[in-house]
Amino acid sequence: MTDNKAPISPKKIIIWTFLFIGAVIMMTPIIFMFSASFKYNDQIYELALISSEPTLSNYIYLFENTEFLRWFLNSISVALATTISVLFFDSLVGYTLAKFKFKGRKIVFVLILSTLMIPTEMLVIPWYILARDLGLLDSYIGLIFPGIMTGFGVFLMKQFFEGVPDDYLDAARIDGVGEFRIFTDVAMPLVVPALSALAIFTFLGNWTAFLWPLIVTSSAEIYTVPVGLASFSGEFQSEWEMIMTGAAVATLPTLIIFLFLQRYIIRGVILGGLKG
Amino acid sequence: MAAVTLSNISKTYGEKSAAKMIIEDLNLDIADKEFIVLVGPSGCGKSTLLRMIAGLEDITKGQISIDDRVVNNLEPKDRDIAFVFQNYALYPHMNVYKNMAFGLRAAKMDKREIEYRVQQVAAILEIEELMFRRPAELSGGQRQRVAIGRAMVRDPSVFLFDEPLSNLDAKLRASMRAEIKKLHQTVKTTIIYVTHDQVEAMTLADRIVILKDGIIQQIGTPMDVYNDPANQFVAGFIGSPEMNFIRAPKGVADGCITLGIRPEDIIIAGDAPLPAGHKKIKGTVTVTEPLGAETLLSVDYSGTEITAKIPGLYIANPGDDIKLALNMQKAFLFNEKGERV
Ligand SMILES: Nc1ncnc2c1ncn2[C@@H]1O[C@H](COP(=O)(O)OP(=O)(O)OP(=O)(O)O)[C@@H](O)[C@H]1O
Ligand SMILES: [Mg+2]
Repeated sequence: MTDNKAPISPKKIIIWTFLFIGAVIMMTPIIFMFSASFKYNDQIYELALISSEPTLSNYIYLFENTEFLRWFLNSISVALATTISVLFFDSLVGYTLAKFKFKGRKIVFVLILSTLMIPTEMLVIPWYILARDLGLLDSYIGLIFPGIMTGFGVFLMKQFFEGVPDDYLDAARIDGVGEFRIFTDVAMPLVVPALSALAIFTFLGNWTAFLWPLIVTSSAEIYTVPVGLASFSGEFQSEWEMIMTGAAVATLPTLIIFLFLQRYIIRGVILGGLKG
Repeated sequence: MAAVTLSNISKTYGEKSAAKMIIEDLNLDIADKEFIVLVGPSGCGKSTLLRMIAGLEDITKGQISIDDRVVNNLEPKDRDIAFVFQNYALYPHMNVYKNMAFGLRAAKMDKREIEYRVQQVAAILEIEELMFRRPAELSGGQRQRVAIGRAMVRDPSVFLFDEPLSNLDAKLRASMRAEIKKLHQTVKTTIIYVTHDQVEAMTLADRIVILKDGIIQQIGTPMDVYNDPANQFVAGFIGSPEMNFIRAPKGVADGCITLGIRPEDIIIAGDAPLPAGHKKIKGTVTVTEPLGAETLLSVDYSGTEITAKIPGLYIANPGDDIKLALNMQKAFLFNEKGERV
């Protein structure tokens, strides 16, 4: 249709225009974030993308004079621990719901699904009371515990495991493999794309999580990056250049995670052991 | 040594109120080293029965023993069986070697012993060059071999096959059929083989079990069930092309309403006198299908379609009148319940 030198169809022009506008809207704040991170405090409100005297001083200050590195490591640990726990428990529960018949299976599934409909803002109060009563306030475990399992992940994994033919599992049962190893060695490798997607969602969600970490932490040593950066914003003045610098550094792990895992998603589901 | 005995096996699916009977009070004795083929129409419970023997499905009632050992409550791995699935069910993320070794590793077998066994089986099945390929990189026939290989390395005393050849094309199916037969002669184990292809049943089986709605219709050698079908269902099921069923003329036998005759027992009635015991009928040709060595002739006989298998090439046009002769000595008579008369 649109091959060699034929005029580009109007439909494509319209689509590209919308995509372009979308891209600009998405990218502008990020570009300004990077731009601001190279500016001095008094240049922040100048619109120039590249300031007249760009500086690395914000980055140096961030690592030398604030607890940013600590927060960064906290965030990484919390996000990693949560992601690993979510990958394990959500797929275990999803697998059980998809592949085993037992009384009350539907009810359990509906209950888990219903947790998806409650917004975090409503959950933080019971979480807080729970954390307080268990003495988990201002601790890493307190930061992590609400996220060790997610209804969304259970739902996602259940859907994917339902696509795994029972014959694989039966073949492994005949082979004399125990049920837990069937889960880890046969079923899990077949849902790698789903696991990658879930890993990305969970990691990003926890990396950027703000409300719960803000509520549960009170000492600066266990702040996560978003909470730490927010502390730069004081009652009387905000250190915008520092917030922007910290945010710029904070995008790095998300980029790395995404670049590392996306090929597993894109590669698609590996099937082929069944008839081709 | 592995005789398999099924005593009063029943299987129902679903809750008590809406229970669906799939297998009903089934008894079957399978001798050691016997090649048993289970045939029957789709949904008659063949796979269910096989899966119950394998231990993949609970038994609602009855008892299964392998080698005088009741296995009702044994795990599949403890039953000394191997199962070949219709869709092969090779683990897609493992190469051929790992697919075959997976069960042995789970049994914590010595590494060198595993290697030795896999190599041996691979040599028998001629799949040695495929060891490091994944299932997706194999052809249908190669996958089938690997699936059989995975069963063989377990060195089981009973092989269970669930329609292993149904995903292959006709030519490959014929050659794999011959190989399975050869395999049985080499490994000398009991084989229970499910198919709905009656050519497979006839060529492979020591005894055929014909199943319908979860009830055994007949058990017998291929020749038994072909020459002496227990009822109209078996008569129609075994033999290809299918047996013809026509309304029996009055006075043939008491209570007989259907006459069954195989296509190969029908000849063209020429002008010469008919051989003894033949009965002439008149019809109209509807279709001719020349197959080379023989011709299949479909004839409309007062509203019923009859197929005749004529040796050699026979040329006729649709609409031609034709006279056929039925060999009444080879005809089967059935009453209205489909029972033999
Ligand atoms: N898990 C199940 N729950 C309820 N009904 C089932 C279940 N599995 C099988 N059935 C029913 O049991 C009957 C027998 O199924 P089975 O798979 O044994 O048939 P089959 O003889 O192997 O057929 P085919 O030749 O098509 O493979 C079918 O009517 C099927 O719908
Ligand atoms: Mg079946």
